[in-house]
Amino acid sequence: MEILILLIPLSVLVALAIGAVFWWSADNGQFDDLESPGQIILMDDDGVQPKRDEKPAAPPAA
Amino acid sequence: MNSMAPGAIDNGQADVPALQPATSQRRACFHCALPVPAGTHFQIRFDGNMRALCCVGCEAVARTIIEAGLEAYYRNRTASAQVPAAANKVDALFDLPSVQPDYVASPSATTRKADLYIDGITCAACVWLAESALARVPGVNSASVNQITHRASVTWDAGTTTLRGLLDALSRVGLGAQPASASARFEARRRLRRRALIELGVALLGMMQVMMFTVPLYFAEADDVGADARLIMGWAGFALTLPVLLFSARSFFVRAWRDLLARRAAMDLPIALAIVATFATSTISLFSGGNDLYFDSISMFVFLLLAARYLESSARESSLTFIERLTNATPAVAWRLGGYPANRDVTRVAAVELREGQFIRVATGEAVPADGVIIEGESEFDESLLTGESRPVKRGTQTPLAGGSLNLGAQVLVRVTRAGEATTAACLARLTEGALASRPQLNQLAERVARWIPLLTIVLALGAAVIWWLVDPSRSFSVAVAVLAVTCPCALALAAPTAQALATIRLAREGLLISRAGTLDKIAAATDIAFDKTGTLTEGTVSIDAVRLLGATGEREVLDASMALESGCQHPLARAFAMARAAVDSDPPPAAHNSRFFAGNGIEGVIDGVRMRLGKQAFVSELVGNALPEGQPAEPLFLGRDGQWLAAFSVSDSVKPDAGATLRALEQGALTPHLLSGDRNDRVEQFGASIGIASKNVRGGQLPADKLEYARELAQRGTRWIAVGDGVNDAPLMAAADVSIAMGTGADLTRLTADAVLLSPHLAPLVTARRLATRMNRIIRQNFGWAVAYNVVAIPLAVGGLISPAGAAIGMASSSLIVVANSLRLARARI
Repeated sequence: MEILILLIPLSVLVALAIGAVFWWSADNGQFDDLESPGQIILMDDDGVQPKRDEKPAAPPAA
Repeated sequence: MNSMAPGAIDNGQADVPALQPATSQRRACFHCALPVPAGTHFQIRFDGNMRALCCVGCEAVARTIIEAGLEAYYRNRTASAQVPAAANKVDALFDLPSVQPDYVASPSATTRKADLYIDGITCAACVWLAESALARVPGVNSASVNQITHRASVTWDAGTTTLRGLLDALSRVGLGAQPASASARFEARRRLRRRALIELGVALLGMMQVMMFTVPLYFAEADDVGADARLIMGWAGFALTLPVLLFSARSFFVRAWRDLLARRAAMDLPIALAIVATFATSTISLFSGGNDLYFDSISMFVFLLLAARYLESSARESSLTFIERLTNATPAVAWRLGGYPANRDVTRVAAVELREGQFIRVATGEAVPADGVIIEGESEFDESLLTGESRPVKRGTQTPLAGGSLNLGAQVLVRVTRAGEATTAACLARLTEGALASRPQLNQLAERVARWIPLLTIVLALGAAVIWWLVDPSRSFSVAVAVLAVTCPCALALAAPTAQALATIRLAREGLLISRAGTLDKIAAATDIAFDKTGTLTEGTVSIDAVRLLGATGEREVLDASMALESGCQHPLARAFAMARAAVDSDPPPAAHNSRFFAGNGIEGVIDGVRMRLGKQAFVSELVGNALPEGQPAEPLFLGRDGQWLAAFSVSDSVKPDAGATLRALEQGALTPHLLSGDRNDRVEQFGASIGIASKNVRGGQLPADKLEYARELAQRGTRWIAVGDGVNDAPLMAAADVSIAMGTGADLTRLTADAVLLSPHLAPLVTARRLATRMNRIIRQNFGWAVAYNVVAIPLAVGGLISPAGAAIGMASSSLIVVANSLRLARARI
């Protein structure tokens, strides 16, 4: 059980690290909307990066 | 003269266009899911098939979305889109330097930041569509949309694009957007909410970790864990409890200290005392090598308490968001026609500068900046925020228009009737805020009791400590801590407010606004419900079907006089006359002087020096002096002057489509419907029978005094009843009722005296209100029952030394969590 003397302080450090990460993420608004981001990831968003120019609307496809 | 009723929207039932794919038999618009009118051929190619669309607006939006490569929106959406404004044009006025500071922040010299309210977000796909549309605008650095608050937060490069460019990009994909004023209140709330979440998270993490260290010690045999390991586990528990104590529990200490300074004992005081005492015992025990370590119960206590508070503030948050959207519903700028009717030059003014009687132009896609009456044009409006009605509503000339509704069709000219703080949207926001802030009697009682409990707890804890000192000094301290921790006034104080806030907001979203606290209680307790007829159970869009001339005066003069008499009046008849007259004459009507309104009878006034009366036969007959000529059929409305009958009008009004169903549902919920109307007896009886009200509860030909008499009869029978009416003709009746519900259509909300306002054009929210109120009362009773039972059982046990401080802390914190969680069921309950 000697190992506990090492592991327990280590687990305290890990817990503090998790707390710090959680703090940072909550402060950055990661938990503000828990609904939509999970669904948005499923969409085909090829080419939705900000583009420098936008083409004018083409004539009707019909 | 034929019917003057406004034409219904043409839901064409003709054949499906040939190009409609065979797999999809629905004739619903591909974009907005409204029916596709017959004879139109708007369409778009999607996934290789042609899809039919209902209008040019939807076609333009669908084409933009598909051509921009955003088809994923149509594949992933779970709700159909709202009808886009036909030719959305965002006004350049948002780029005016004078308007900018209200909305746009400048984090640096070249970047700009703004929050936008986005209308028409119905599901996660809309969030994605909005974010993608914004991200594609050149110069946009970041854009994120929150599905819950409908707010987009955008930063962009000032040199490359403008606020208007962003709004344009959104409107091209069919999403209306408005800059949200840079509200410090909103920003502060967002920070508070994040902070609450962090406090909760830290407490949860602390609780789990500390339990990991301490729980093994409870079960370990003496020699399983070495003394070193035991000590180090104790120290680890201490180390992880510190952040919980210093950070998460800080708010309890701050509030307790503030209460101490103000010399009052509130709920946080015993909580803070219990936390400090438990921590002190555990720390002393740790330093002296003892075994009384309660670090895990401290963090669990704090976590459970914070969880209850977090849930409660989430419930409140949803109501604040609703109020915020209402206050932001009216745009900040308006187009005023300064010289109307002489010329039609428009100038841009701030909406707060608008005054009653001024003329404004509301273009397509714009929100209406103030309440008013349409004087020219006809269009469809989205009033969903104000009335809960999701379908667009058609409004023509002479119809009132509420500020904050969105113009989806053509441009209209509007005469302002109420602006600024007096608009419907602003009144709704204030009323909702007021209703949420005021507390009904039951609550006040519970809060008074809850205020005394903390003091009582402290006294009780001291008493228990003294008694146990005499019996067993070693246990005296832990018993006192247990008593402090176990008492739960929070459950008592939280029992009602959370449930009430949730029910109030849920009803407001559906179009029934509660303006006075305690109204829901009374709705739940009512046994009878009395309706007015015109404008309540019927549409209220009365139309003049026919004019029969009884004298030599012509139709035009008769209509002129009638309109002049009705002009100062809110009654639906006024609009009917205005519409009937518009068909024969467009000059301004003559003015009536000394107009007097005789409730339930009619109107008297002087026009061009001649005294005239418009109203019931008996009422007009008094002025005319002689009887109606023989052989004239009875009509509901007559016009006459001294010595002469002028005309008889036949009017019609259609029953609301859901009136019958609503009455049946109310009857099933043990509410007996009554019908009181000033209309002719046979017509009222026939009407009552047609919508299923028992004939013994139907009264026609009622003057306000008769209605009051009927009310007295009801009261004598011991019934508690709700009055539903337009609030104009039946004000005395509504004042006499236990609960009064006014119809909100066109009513002046600033002078509202009713307990609640039905803003929805449907009657269904009445049924929801009844069911929700009953349910709310049940939940509040359960909460009170639990809170009282818990305290009655737990306090004696704690005083008797049968509960450890740890158990007491967990019991108390779970108790308030249970109460809040029980209330939250109201938000999701299927009604």
